[in-house]
Amino acid sequence: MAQKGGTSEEQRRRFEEEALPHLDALYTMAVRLARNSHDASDLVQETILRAYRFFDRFEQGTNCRAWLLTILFNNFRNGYRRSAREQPAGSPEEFERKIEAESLRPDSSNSNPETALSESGMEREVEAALDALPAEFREVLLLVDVQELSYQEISQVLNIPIGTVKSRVSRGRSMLREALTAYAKERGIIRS
Amino acid sequence: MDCGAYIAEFLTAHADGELSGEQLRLAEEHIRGCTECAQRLAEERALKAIVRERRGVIRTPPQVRGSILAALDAADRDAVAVRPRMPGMRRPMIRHLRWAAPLALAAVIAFVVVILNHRPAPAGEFPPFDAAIANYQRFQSNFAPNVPSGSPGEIADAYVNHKLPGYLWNFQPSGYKLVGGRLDQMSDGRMVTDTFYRADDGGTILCRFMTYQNLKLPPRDSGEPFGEHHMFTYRGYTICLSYLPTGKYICILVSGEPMKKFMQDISASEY
Repeated sequence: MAQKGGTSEEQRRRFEEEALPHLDALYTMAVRLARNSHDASDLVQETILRAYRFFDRFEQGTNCRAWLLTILFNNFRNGYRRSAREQPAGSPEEFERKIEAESLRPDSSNSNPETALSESGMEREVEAALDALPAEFREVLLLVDVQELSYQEISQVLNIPIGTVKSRVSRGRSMLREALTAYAKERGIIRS
Repeated sequence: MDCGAYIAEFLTAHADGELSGEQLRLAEEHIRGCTECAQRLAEERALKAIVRERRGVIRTPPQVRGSILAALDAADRDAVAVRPRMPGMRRPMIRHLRWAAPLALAAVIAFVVVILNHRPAPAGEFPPFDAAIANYQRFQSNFAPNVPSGSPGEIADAYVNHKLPGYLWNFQPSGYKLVGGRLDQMSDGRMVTDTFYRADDGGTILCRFMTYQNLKLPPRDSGEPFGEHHMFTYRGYTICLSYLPTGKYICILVSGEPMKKFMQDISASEY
């Protein structure tokens, strides 16, 4: 359990040291869930405030990012998803363009040069394939590939059995592989 | 191991670094001797890279970061403002007391706890409590989920789809397993969620979420304060009432356990 007691200044300092470095990770996930930057901002702020309030429940030595994402998903399920549904963000392509326009593009330091995509029709194919994945498969792929959580941590974040995590990752990646066959062949990622 | 077994059982976990010990050794051994599966593993890792590339980290806009820091400052100010009035009452007492460093402060808090714990539950009839207890009694012998209940996530989704809170308590640390969820319509038309938990020793908990407009409930500051919750002994059952921080929803937990035991169950749970 995290150290408790002490002054509020110490609590704030510890929170800033341990939790706030994960702000970008939270915002990234929030944007993908809420599908608009306004709701994503609200979702992240609500998540951070709740985490701060219950920071004594965070077990030191465990993955703080996973703990924060658990709170974020709970908050999303309890309000922001509904809000997002009531205010559709337009097509996936429009949404991605909007992120580009807002200069919120993915951190280039995380890019893998070997898989860097050219601005071509094939890129749109990749975008479409990712957006076409059903939400439950897309979420686990984002958590394992982008957030770099373990299956055990994802099980905690989504409140589903670890076997379900494994099967969703496997199925999600199969669906992606199938959708990207032509693209992957062209780039030599798959042979047949 | 043959290729079918490797792809079905190991490929995904291997690419994700989830194998260890004997499983990892078997997988590596197979890959060394099988170019086809080695290629499949490389493809799997390439797909991971594509997802990372196209859905990678998005930097938090400066104005969002600024408003979050301002909200934390406001939370600190609020905490300071309420502290003299009600020290330590924002958290469950059991947890807080363990960490109250200065002995004098601990004694003061303990005194406050004793005083508050002896506040009697209000007398009166509370139909929302009666309705929750009626279902709790009925579910003892017959609980039939009417929403997909294969996992907590499925149940939460069903509740959210009906515009009700999808928070699910995790009482596993206290030995209770999730049995399933139900969505029902009350006589006044409002929807309620009922989530049922059962322990191996036969103990059960019902968790109900509903809107609270026009319901006759005990006054907000009545009952025994317990962190964010208020505890009641009502018609022989223990009830934990909470108001959700957002939306017009309440959570009613019903248990047949004595109040002290139920408070321990809640303290150990995850929310």
